[in-house]
Parts: sequence; C-alpha cells; structure tokens
Amino acid sequence: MFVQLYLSQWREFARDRMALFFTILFPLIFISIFGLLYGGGSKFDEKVGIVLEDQGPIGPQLASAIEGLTQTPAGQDADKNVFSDMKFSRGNASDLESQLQKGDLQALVIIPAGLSDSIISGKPMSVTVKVDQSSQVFAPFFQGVVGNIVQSVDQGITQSKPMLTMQVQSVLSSQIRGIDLLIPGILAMSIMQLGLFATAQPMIAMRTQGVLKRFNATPLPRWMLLVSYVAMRLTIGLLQTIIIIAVGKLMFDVAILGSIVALLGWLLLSILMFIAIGFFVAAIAKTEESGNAITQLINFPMLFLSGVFFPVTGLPDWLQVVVKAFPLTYTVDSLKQVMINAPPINTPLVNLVVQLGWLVVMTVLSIRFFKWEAR
Amino acid sequence: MTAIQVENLVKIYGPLRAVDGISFEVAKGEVFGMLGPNGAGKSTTTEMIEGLRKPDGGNIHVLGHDVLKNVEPIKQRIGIQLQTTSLFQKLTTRELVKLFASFYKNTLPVDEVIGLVNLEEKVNTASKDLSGGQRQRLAVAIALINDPDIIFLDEPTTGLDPQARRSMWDVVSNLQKRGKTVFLTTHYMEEAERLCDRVAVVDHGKIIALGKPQALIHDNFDETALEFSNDEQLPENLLASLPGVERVQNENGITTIYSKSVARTTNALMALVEQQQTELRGFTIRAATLEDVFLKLTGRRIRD
Ligand SMILES: Nc1ncnc2c1ncn2[C@@H]1O[C@H](COP(=O)(O)OP(=O)(O)O)[C@@H](O)[C@H]1O
Ligand SMILES: [Mg+2]
Repeated sequence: MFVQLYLSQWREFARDRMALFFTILFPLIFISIFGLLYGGGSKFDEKVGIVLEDQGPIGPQLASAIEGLTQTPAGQDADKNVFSDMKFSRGNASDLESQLQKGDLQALVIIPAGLSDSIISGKPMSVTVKVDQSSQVFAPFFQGVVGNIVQSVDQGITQSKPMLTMQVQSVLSSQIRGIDLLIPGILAMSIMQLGLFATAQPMIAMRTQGVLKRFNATPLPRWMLLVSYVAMRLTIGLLQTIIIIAVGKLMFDVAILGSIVALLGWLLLSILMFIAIGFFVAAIAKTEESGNAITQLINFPMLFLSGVFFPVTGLPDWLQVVVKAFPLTYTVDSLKQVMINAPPINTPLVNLVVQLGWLVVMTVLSIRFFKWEAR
Repeated sequence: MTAIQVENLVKIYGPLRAVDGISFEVAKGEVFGMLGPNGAGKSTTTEMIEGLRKPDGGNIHVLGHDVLKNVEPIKQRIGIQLQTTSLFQKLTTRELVKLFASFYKNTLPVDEVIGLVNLEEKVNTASKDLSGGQRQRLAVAIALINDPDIIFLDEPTTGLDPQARRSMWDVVSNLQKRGKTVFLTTHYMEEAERLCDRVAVVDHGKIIALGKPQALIHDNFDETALEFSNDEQLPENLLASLPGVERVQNENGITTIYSKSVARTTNALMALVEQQQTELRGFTIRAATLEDVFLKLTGRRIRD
C-alpha cells in the first residue's frame, strides 16, 4: 500500500502542469536567464593589481610569489589550476586604486614602502589586500591564497613572532555578480517553495476537501499516509535540486568547490526542514485561503532577505537580526559555503544545529497541532 | 444476527444536540435507511457508527465489535461512501480503485467492482472529469472494493439527476441481492420507500418513526391524499368540513387533504371549486407516502 500511495501521489503531481512548471521548469528558466546574463566559466579570470613600493628584498619576493599563482607546478594539469587564467599588472597606487573602483580590477595587493627595512629592524608590518566584494566567489578565495603566501614568506623570515601580516580591505565596485553566486540561492529558494507550495498547500487541500477523512475510513495507518507524503516530497526535492545543479553545471559550468557528498547532505537536511515547516503551516492553517496567506507571509520576506538574491551582509544591522531568525538564511549560507566557498556568515556547526533544530521543533509542533478533518 | 446495534447515541456540538439519544438495530442483509431533512443528524450518526467521529454518549456495536473501543478490526469489513468524497483529482477511476484496494487484506478484483457500479466506460477517466453521478458511483465502487459485509451510503443520490439516481438505485438493489447489509441516508422519501427494508425517520437528532416504509404509512394513515396548488386560497375550514376529510395541511402553497372517502371528498371538492369559481391546478389523488408521515409528525416537509 505504501508503493501504491507513493505512486498515486506521483501521478497526481506529474499530471499537474502547474506544479511541474513551478517545481522543475521555473527554477531552470531562472538559471538560464541569469546564466545568459552573467555567464562565465568556473575558472577565475579576474584581474589583480600589485603595487610594489618596497625597495628591500621581501617585497619583490612576495610580489612574484603572488604572480606565480598562474603558474601550474610541473606534472599538474593546468586545467585544474583555477588561477591559471588570472591577469596581474603592476603600477602605482593611485592608478590601480581607481581601476579597482571602476571594476577593471577585482583585487589589489599593496606592498608598502619600507616593508623590508621595518621587518629587518624587528618591527612588524603588513601588506594590504583590497578585494572587490561584488565578485563574491573570487574575493574570499583570493584573500585566502594571499594570506597563505604571506604566511609562508613570514615563516621564511626567522623571527619568533609574526613580522609580516596581511590586512584585508573590502571595496565594492559596480560589477555584477556571477551565476555561481546565484545557484545556491536558487536551490534554497526551490527547497523553501517545495515546503510551502508543494507540501503545505496540497496537505491543506486534502484536509479541507475530505481526502484525509476518506483515507482515515480505511485500514491505512495514518503514519503511512504521512510517511509516503514526506517521501514523495523528498523525492521531488532531491530531483529538483539535482536537476538545477546538473543544468547549471552543464550549461554554465557553475562552481561546486566543496564535496558533492557534503552538498547532498546539506540539501537533504534543508529539504527535510522545509517539509517540516510546510507540515507546520498545514497544521495551523484552517482553510486553503489562510494557508495561502501564511505561505506567502513566509515566502516573501525569506526570499528577499535571506541571501538568495543579495548577500545578507549588505543589510542594515537591525534587519540582520531579523534575518538571523529565518531558517532560509542558514540554508543559503550552508549551500554557498559548500558550493562556492563564500565568506561564511555562520560556522557549519551553527548551520547544522539551527536547521536540525527547526526540523525537530517543526516536526514536534506539526504532530501536536495536526488536524485530520476540516471541522 | 445484528449487523449494527446503536444504543442511546448522543453527539453534542456546542449548544446543539446534533444526535440526541438515537437507538436502533440493523439486521444482517437488511437495507436500512435514515430519512430526514438536512441537519437532522444523519451524517453525524453514520460517521459515529463508522468510527470517524467520537460520540458524546451511547454505545455502538458493528458486527459484534465495540466501535468505541477499537474500530480497526471493523474497518476491514465495512465499506464507506461519505456524503462528499473527494479523491486525488488527476487519478483515473481504475487507479483510484486500485489505490484503495491496496489498503485492504481481502479485495474484489478492481474491474469487477467497477462493473458493479457500471463505470466500465470511465476506467481511464480522471476523477475530476467524471460527472456528479459517475463520481458518486466511483465512491461506491471504492466502498465495495474490500467486499464489505456492511456498506454505508451517506446521501448517495443527493444532487443527481433522475437518471443518475435510478442508476444508483440499481446498484443498491444489486447489493441487496448479493446479501449485503446496506445502511443509507437520504432525504428523498421515494428513495427510502423504494430501497429500504426499514426506515428510521429522523428530525433534530431524534428518531420520530421507525419501521417498514409501508407499515409506517399505514400506522399513520388510513387516508388517501388529495393534493393541489391553491392560488385562490380556498379557506381551510371549508375544506376540512368536506365529507370524508380527516385533515388538511397547507404548505408552500400546496394543499393536501387527507380523506377516508376519496369519492365523496372529490365530488364535494369539485362542487366547492365550481361554486367559488376558481381552478385547481396540479390536482392529484395519491396514496400517502413517507413524506406525509413526516409532514404529519413534524408539520414540515422533508425538503423545503
Ligand atoms: N463538526 C461539526 N461541528 C459543529 N456542528 C456540526 C458538525 N457536524 C455537524 N454539525 C451540525 O450538526 C447537525 C447535524 O448535521 P448532519 O449530521 O450533517 O446532518 P444531516 O447529515 O442529517 O444533514 C447540523 O446542524 C450541523 O450543522
Ligand atoms: Mg448529511
């Protein structure tokens, strides 16, 4: 009977053109439009300026180490080196600064005058890295590798305390964001809408129309009805996200920098969480109308504030506090971290605990308040 | 052997006693009907027997099992058609019957059940594309899939056109021939008279008459009904004083005269009409029906 129930729900879903459109086609159209607008491969072809003002030995050493990123070590595949297409240029500070502001450069490394002298005389000194935050995929990446280079050069200077440090400054140019950034957001959006529109609303309809009541008049155990319902949504959710990722990968070669297994794990967690949230909505909404109202009330703020379309860090402080309460924020953050190594908002542990928490609390509350009959 | 035994059943909704102390028994193989107007408490009673609603008082036994203690064993042996059944919209007749078949231990073949309700031509039609009567028959097919001992039909013909209604009556008659116990509710007295071995007439949550339809009629009436619509408002006291007349009832512009002597009353009535220089429209002479019983007991018609 589980199989029959599951199949029946599939048929009901697959024969519903609107549902199909919104769960599968809509996100794909979305990606395609953004992909064509923002296109681009997964290799970095960003331009970086280097201002070398230091006359001593350490400055040039640093500069060439950074420029060396484009070189692929012998015996390795140049295609695997994500930095091999980067362009470096040297120049004076004011020229390169203005290029960075215009968006002609995506990052700028400034090695200040007197760096070597200062370090040799025992005074710590730092290089400055300015990164354009609008290229969100590249910025954290580049910061990271420059940080590593600075550290290894520092260790080459035999001093007990770190002498050479790095300072990061963010700038924001007028550059558009890449599709890589958008894909985790689209995934998160689709998962949330699966919970709201494909879980809550059909369940409310099944109750108000008396379908649940009819099932209850049979020997079918209630838990089996619910489990098949969840299983069916879980399948749609996984299918939907996998299609989005696959199309993104095939058509636009979007970045998946983290492990696929971790990605699937995070997807699974957030799908289950939003199914649970959907059930909670179905539990508290008495009519289809109030169900619609509640889902929209949840959908819109989360869709626009949780980092799907623009980063949470750009929001005013008070809004950030609000956004911290949205489960979608944690979904977007965890997916961005695993897919594009975006600068984290929360640690993975926080993302895990918060989403698990929502899952558990929503499940418990749904079970507590769920009604099988309209009145 | 009793199929259903109900004692002093009570269901209270806020200030309303929707079911107010109902008791009856249904024998195996019997077609038992609950006849009453909308809101009389038919569905509430039916669904309490089916184990879908909890009573506030009373006892229910179905096939010897105490429904209030444990409905699960009974669920395998009863078939239920709810007053409004809504199913997955986009599944076909066969798919839906098959789905419900998967819930039961013992089932009839899917196609046999579809044949029992004459839906062979609609096996591949999505339930949303069925007509009202066809959807109702699909609901009955699903109620029959586990070859139940008792079939509950809650207003199976309400809202159907006369032809669809007749088709449903055939289905019920066939069930009776197969020896099934049928519990049905209706607000059509004709349906109750035609299909039911025994009828409980209910109003405001109470049984006001219980028995074989013909017996109910004879117990309440040895009169014949003369009925006409009376635009000219022939005075009731004049009509009541005509020879042979037992009672006169005026309801929604329709006058019913119950007479013990049809010939004498008719003659006198015609004379009266001529003398008043008026016309009788829709004049009929008919035997009393359950509708008349209801009218006599409550002063209202079943359908208003
Ligand atoms: N769940 C409920 N909550 C409140 N009132 C109800 C409920 N179900 C039925 N009623 C009321 O109980 C009365 C009997 O209803 P019902 O059994 O459906 O009558 P019938 O089936 O004879 O038309 C009606 O007045 C109806 O409004
Ligand atoms: Mg009813």
